[in-house]
Amino acid sequence: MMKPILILLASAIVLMGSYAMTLSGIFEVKNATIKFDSAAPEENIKATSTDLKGVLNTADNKFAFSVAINTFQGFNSALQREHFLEDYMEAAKYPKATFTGKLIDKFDSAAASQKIRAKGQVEIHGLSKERILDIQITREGLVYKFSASFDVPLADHGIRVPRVVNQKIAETIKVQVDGQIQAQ
Amino acid sequence: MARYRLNNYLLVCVALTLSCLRSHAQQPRWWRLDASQRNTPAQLHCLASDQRGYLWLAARGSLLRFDGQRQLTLPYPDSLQLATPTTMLLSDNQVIIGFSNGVVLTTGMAAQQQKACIKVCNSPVTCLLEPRPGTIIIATDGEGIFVSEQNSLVHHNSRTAGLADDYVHEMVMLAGKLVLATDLGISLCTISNDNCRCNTIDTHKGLSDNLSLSLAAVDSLTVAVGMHNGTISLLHLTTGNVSLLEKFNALQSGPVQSLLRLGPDLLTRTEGGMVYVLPSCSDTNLQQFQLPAEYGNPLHWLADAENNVVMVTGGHEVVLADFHLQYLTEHDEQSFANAQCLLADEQGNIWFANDKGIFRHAVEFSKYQYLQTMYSSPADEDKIISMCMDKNGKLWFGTFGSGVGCIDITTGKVKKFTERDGLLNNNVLSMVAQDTTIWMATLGGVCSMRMDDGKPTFSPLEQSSELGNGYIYSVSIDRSGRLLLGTDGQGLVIYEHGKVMRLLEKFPASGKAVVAMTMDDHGFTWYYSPDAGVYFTDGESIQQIDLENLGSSTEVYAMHAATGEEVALLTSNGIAYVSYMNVTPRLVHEQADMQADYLNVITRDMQKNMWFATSTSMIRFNESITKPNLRPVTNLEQVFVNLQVTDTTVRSFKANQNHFTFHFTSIWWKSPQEAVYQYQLAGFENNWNTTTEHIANYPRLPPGTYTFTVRSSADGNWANAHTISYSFTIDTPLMQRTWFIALALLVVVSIVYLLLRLRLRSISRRELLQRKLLQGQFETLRNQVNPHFLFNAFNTLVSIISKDKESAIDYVEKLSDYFRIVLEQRHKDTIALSEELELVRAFIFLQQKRFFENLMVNIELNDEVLQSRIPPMTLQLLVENAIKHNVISKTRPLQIIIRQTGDKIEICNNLQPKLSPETSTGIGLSNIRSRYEILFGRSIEVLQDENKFCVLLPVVF
Repeated sequence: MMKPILILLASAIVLMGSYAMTLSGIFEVKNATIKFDSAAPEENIKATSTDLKGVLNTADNKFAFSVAINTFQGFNSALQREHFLEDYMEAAKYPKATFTGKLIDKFDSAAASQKIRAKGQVEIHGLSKERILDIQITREGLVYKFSASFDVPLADHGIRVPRVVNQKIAETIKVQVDGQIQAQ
Repeated sequence: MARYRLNNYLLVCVALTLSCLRSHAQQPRWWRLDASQRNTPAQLHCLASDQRGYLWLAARGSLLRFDGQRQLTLPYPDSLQLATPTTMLLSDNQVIIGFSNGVVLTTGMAAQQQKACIKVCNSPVTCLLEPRPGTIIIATDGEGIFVSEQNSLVHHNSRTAGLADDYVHEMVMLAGKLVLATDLGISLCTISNDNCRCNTIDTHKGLSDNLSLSLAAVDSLTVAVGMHNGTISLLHLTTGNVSLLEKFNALQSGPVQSLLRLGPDLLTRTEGGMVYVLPSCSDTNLQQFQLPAEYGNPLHWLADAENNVVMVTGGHEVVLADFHLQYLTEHDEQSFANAQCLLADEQGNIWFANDKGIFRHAVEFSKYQYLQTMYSSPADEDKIISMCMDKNGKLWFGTFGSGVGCIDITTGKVKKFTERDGLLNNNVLSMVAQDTTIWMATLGGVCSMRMDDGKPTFSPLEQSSELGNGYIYSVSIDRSGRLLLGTDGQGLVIYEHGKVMRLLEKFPASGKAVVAMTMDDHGFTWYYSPDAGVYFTDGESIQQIDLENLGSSTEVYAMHAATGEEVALLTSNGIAYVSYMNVTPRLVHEQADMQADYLNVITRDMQKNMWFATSTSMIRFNESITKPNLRPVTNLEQVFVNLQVTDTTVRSFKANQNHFTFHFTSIWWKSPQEAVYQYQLAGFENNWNTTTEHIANYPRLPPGTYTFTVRSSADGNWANAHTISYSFTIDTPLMQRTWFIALALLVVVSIVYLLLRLRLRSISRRELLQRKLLQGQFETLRNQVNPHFLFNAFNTLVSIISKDKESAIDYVEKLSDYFRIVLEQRHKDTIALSEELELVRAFIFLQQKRFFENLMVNIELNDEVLQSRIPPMTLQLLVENAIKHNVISKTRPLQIIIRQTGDKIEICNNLQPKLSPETSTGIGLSNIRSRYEILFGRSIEVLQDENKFCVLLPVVF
C-alpha cells in the first residue's frame, strides 16, 4: 500500500532530474511540523513531529506528503506515547501516515498570499480517506510558507479506542501542519 | 347545549409536554426504517427507487430490495464482497452498481439472476447514467468517463475529450448535453458515437468555484451546481450564463455535497447533516434543517414517489424525511405550542397568539425564521382567540372577555376597544374583513366595525335577535359578498341585503351549531357542526362528508380552503384533505389524539403552506409538493403454485396445479407497518379478506376461472386503494371436460348398441334355428308318425313277427330306440356325428327289415370325423329322403353311401326316382341348408345328375 507513494516519490525524483535545468516545478517540503491535538473531556493530548517529508510538482499539480508515526513526540507521558504507537496507531504495522493527491487550485508562485485546496487520499492506520484540505500559502522571497489544519475522525481510519479510555481520547483529532516549500 | 359546546371548544386545558428537538425549532418529520439483513446489520451506501416503489439499497456485500418492512437480499459475486458500492442506477429490469474499486456490476432484479462484472478502471465509480437504453455512462473519480455500449467501452478523459478534469463527481444529462461536475469546473459534453467533445465552464466564465461537487436539473435548460466553497450556481446550458444563489451563498454553509429536486423545490445538504430547502429552486424563502445527529451523515439520497426524501448513511437504517410536513415546536424565545389563534397575511408573515401575546413569525433569509413579539398581553387580559388584518395593514385581535384590540404593525401601537366603546360583546370569537368593515362574531351577536378618523364605529347586525341565543362562533364572507354566520342553535345563517336565511329551514338535519367554516375555490361553503358533521353547500343543495375512514369518533377542530378546490381539516386523528369532487377525506398526516382547543387555529400562507396549531405544536404542511391521491402502492410479489414460484405471465394451469399462494406487499414509506390488505379470489369467494399478513393461501382450488385481487391501504380508505389483479384459469381435468364426457358417452352407447345388436342377431338367429329345428323335428316326427311310415313299420313287424319272433322283438326295440333318440335330440342345436349315426343306423335297421338287401347303406367314416358336429337328424332326413323318393326293388336296389370326401361328408344315392312322386313337404333339404347356415355359417351342396344324387355336408368341429 505504500506503492503509490513510492511511485510518486520515484517519479518526483525522475522529474527533479528532468526539470533541473529549467528550474523545474518541483518543490520540496522543508522545516515542516505536524501537530495533533486530541481534546477529550478528561484529557488533552498533544504531539508533534518535525519529520514531515513531501514534494509538490507544479507541472501537474500533484503532491505527496508522508510522516513516520514513530517520530511523534510530546504526549503527557512516555506510557501514553507507547499506547499511542502500539495500541492505536499500530506503528509497527502501519509505520507511515501519508497524504497524496493533487492541487485543485492553481499554485501561483508570484502571489504573496494564497489559499489553495489540495485534494487527495489521507492514509492513516492503513485506511485511506479522501479529503480536501485548505492550505494557506504565503511567500517570503523564494520560500513559501504553508499551513493547513484539518480534523481526522478516528472512525474514518479504523482506529479503535477502548471504552475505558474513551473519555480521554477525542473521537476527532485536530491536525495542524506548518512548513515551508522550496523550489529545488 | 350552548354552554356545553362553548366549554368544549373554548376550554383551556394546557398540559404541555414538549417533545425533543429543542435546539431547532423547525423540523420535518424524520423517521428511520431498519433494513438489517437477517443476521448482519447492512451497511447501506447507495439507494435507488424503482417504478413499483421498492427501494434498492446497495450495501456492502449485497444488494437489498426493501419494501419498508422486509428485504430481499441479492449477494454480489465473491470478488465484490469487500468492495464499497459508490453509486447505483436502475435500468430496465436491471440494477447497475458502481464500486470504489472501479468495478461496475450489472445484475437482474430477481434472485438467481445473471450478474455481469466489468472492471472499468482503478478509480472509484462516482456516477452512472443511462442516456438511452443500452448505453451506460460511467463517471469516475480520477479517470474521466467511460461510455459502455453493448460490448464496447470507450474512454474519454481530459486529454482525449477535453474534460475539465478527470475527477468527476456527478453528471446529469440535460438538453442533449452531458453535464459533468469535476474538480476543475463544469464540462458540457456532446457524445456521439465514439466521439466526445467538451466545453469547460469554470471560474473564468463566472462559476463561483472550480471544485464542483453536485448537480441537479432545475428546468430543461438550467442546472444547479453545488460547489466545494459552499455556493450554488445556476448554469444556463445554451447561453452559458451563470447566476448565483446569493442568499444561500452568503450562508457559508460549507461544501455543497449534494443537490436534489423534490417536487418544485431544490434541496441541498452540506456537512454535518444540514439540509436546506430552496422552495421553487430559489433562495428567497430558504429553510434550514438539521438531521438529528444520531441518524448519521447522509451518503446518498433521493426523492421517492410519495415525495419523501430517503437517505442512507452507511448504517443499517434508511432515513426518511417528509419536508412538506414540518413541526414547529419551540423557538429560542417562544414556544409554538398552544397557539390560540393563527393568521397568515399577504406579506408572508404568520401571526400567532398565545397566552403571552401576539407574535410575528417570519420566514426570512439570514435567520431562516424569526419571531417578533408584537404585543404582550397584560396579566389581566383574557385570551386572544381571533385575529384579522384590515385593509390598512392593521392587525385586529379579539379576546375571550376583554374586547378587541388593534395593532399598528409598523409602529407597534395598540388600541383596545370594549363594550364601553360600543362593542356588542367582549367575547370576540371570529373576525373577518370586508372592504373597510370588520365583522365580529361575539357571544352577543354579530357586529360590524368601521374606522372613521381613527375612531371605531360599532354597529350590531339588525337581525341579531333572529340569531337565537346570540352565540356566534364563526363569521365569513362568501364570493358574492354574503355574510355567513356559524350560530349556536340556528345552524348556518346566510345574511344578504338585510335578510336572514337559515340553512336549517331548507335542510332540517344540517346541524344546529356551526363552529368552523370555510369557502373552497369552487365556491362551496364548508362547515362543521359538532352535532351533524361536515357539510358543503352552495345554499341550494347540501352534501354531508362521511368521516368514517378517518377513524371512529373523529372530531373536527378547524377547516380551511386549500389548493385545487380542496379543503384541509384539522381533526382529532390528523390532517385530512377533502374536496367536493372527492368526498372521501384522505389523511395526509395521521396523528392520533391530535388536539386543538381553539377555533381559529388554521391558516394558509402565500407559499401554499397550511399552518395548524395544536395543543402541543404548530404544524406546517406544504401543499405544493403533495400529490393528490397519494396512497400505498400494492404489489403482487410472487405467485406460488403447488409451492413452486410461478412466472406471473403464466395464466393457465392444469387441473392438478390447484394450490395457489399469493405473496403481496404494500409500499407506503410514510408508515410501512400500517398497511392493511384486502384480498379476494373472484370465482371462489365474494367477500374481501382483511389482513396484515403478506400472504393469501388457496389450497385445492376446483377447476375454473379466477381473478385474485389485492389492495392495500394505510387509512382504511378502500375506495381509493391501489388494486392489483391476477387472473388465471385452472383447467378442468380430462375426466370432467364436456367433449370427453360426450365422447365417452358416445363410445358407451355405441358399445351397448353393438352388443345389443349382436345379442339381437344371435337371438333372432337362435329363434330362426329353433324354428328350423322345430320344423325339422316336426318334419321328422310327422314323417315318423305319418301313417305311411307306421303302416310300413307295422307291416314289416307283422311279416316278421310270425316267422321270427326274436327278430320282431329286435325290430320293436329298434323302433323304440329310434323314437327315443329322436326325442332325445330334439332340443339340441348340434350333436356329434357318432350320435347321429346311431339314429341313422336304427332307422336303416328298420328300413332294411322292409327292403332287405334291396336297400344298401354303406357308412365309411373314420373316428375323427365321428367327433364332428352336425345338426340332429340331418343324416336321418337325407337317408329317409333317399328312401322316400327312389324306387327300391330287387332289380333296382338303392345304394346309399355315407362317407368322407375331403372336408365334406358325402351322402350319395343312385338316382332312380319313383314314377309317382311321394307327397313331400319339400322342406327337408332346405331345412338342413338353413340350419347349417345359421349354426355354422357354412352351406351344403347338392349334386345331382342322371344317376346320382349327392348331398355334401361340411365337416364342422
